[in-house]
Amino acid sequence: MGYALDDPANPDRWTRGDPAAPPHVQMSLEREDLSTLPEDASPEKPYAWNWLTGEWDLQDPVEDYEPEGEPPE
Amino acid sequence: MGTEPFVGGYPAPSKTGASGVWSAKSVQLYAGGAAWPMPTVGHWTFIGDADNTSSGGANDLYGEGGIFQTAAQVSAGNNEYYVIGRWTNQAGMTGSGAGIIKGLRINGDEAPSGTIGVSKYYNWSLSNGVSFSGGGPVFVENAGIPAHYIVMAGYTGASYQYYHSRIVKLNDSEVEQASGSLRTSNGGPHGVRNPNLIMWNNELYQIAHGHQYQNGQYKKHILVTKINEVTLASTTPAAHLYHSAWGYTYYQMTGRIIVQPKTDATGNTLNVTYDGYHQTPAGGSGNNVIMVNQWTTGGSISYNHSNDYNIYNNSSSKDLYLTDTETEGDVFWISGYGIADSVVSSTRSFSAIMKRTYQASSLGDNGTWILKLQTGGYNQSTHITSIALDSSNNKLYFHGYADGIGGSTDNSTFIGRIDVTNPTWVLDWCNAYVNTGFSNYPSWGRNKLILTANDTITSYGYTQVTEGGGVNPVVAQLITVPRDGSSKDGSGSNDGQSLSSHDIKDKCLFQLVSASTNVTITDSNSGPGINMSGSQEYSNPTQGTTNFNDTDPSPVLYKTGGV
Repeated sequence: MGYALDDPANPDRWTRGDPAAPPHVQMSLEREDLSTLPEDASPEKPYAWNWLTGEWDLQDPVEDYEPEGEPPE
Repeated sequence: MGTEPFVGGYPAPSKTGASGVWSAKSVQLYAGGAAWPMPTVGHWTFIGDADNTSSGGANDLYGEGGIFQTAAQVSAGNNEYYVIGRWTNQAGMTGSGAGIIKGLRINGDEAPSGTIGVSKYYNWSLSNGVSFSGGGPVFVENAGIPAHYIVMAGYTGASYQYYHSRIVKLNDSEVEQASGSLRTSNGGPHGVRNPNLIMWNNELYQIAHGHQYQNGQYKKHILVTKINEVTLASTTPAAHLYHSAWGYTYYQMTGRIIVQPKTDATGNTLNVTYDGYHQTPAGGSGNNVIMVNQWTTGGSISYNHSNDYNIYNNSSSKDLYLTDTETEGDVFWISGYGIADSVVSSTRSFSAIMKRTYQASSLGDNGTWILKLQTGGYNQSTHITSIALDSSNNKLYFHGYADGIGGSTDNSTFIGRIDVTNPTWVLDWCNAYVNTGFSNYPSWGRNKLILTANDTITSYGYTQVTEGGGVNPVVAQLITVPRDGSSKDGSGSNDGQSLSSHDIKDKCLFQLVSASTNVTITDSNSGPGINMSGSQEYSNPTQGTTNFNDTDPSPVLYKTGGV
């Protein structure tokens, strides 16, 4: 799931959202942490991953949402 | 003629010095005994504000974007390249800007030279910082115009959906011809990220991540559109690619996107590689896998579902991340990394290089080879970040980084070569390049490791230099070494930095995956697949204004040394 903030691959200890961070560090720190996605996520309570804070932000409800795709096999 | 081996004093020759005046015969004598000073085998160039002469503190230049040549530069035959990087701290800049440096010549077995004629940086008014795609190409040329295009992503804040892509069109005199932004059309947050540009079917396309609401979260998908080369607006054909099961908790494209034409820019088939979350056949959930497929374009964009595969890591950790690809027709090479139990102790990142062939109705597996730094006293994580194919000689070059190699306690670049003549690949050599006191990183993805003049290869990345008072500017670095691996066990300096090269081949375990203890890599096309929809998911937003400024210092400094 990417680097921890104290990972040796992040030797300069870049923090989330720092526009000066090298791309591999940015991408790692910005990667969604699905393990912390709130259980109440739904069309009425949609979340967006906030890479600045490393948390899921509640968004405005989605209107006319219809699920797409087939369930996993 | 006496027996004196030299004329003048009596300094003994060494690898690094032979003062005095030497006769030709003596040179021949000592060179034959390998005692004569050897020429520099490996040139190391720092580019940026290496002397900290800029106003307002050191300006940092990160080796991102890549090194490129236009048709005119190739035709000139003088080894001149574009160097694209990312600046921070430039006066008047918020966040970071895209740097364009033109005039540097990468001469291979001689030090880089040339006069920097263009040293600019880009940002734009809506953005508080720009970044480049971490994988795919960000610079393409339409030699028929001629014009070249550079794409970046800009952080624009919540009012503008956080991220837009920004394309700049320049002529060969680096005069801006057009500039334009794209965002997503769905109005959701997070916009466009990781934009790639490609000349595909002789037309300009942008391929990037977008975001769309699915099942309680905004998920990434891949947006593709033809770009109008006059206005830089999105046009048709267009499409978006998404997981068929993205309405469920996992499944999305989260990481890198790398696109390469199957043949050249005139062909209508594109080899596309990306990574993201998928449920692996071995179980588990939400693990990162590498996904490959081919697209064709013409009146519309289509997708071959028959050779669409996932490549996943079934080791102790299930994630496998994409770093780069090389392609030659339907054959392509992929580099990536994952984590598995070390054969020494604990867990460590390993690197994988995979050769695959797109077939009409399946994906051919031509071998997966694993590189681990887990022998000869090493137990280091390793990340291969870019590869370069020399198809005429059946050689595949790679660069990457690891900490604690070559006697350094920091991360250092390694460069190596693999002979891929036969199904059994051979690691010809692998050397570490150390900038004492600082980490140095090779950059990720396309155009970061290229074949250069006089049978050399050049690695693009970044490091730091000491300028006193605790100021250590970040500088882009070029490490140019002979393709025969002879740049090893040497030392030298550049701008006061102590540099050294180290043979670390005996620290490498390079094995077919089936023989690589604790690592399992498997291809699969089972489970939910990928859908492509021919809808336009980009829109052309409020543009803002582009800023195209001289860098400070102007021109940018470059300093060369060697090992």
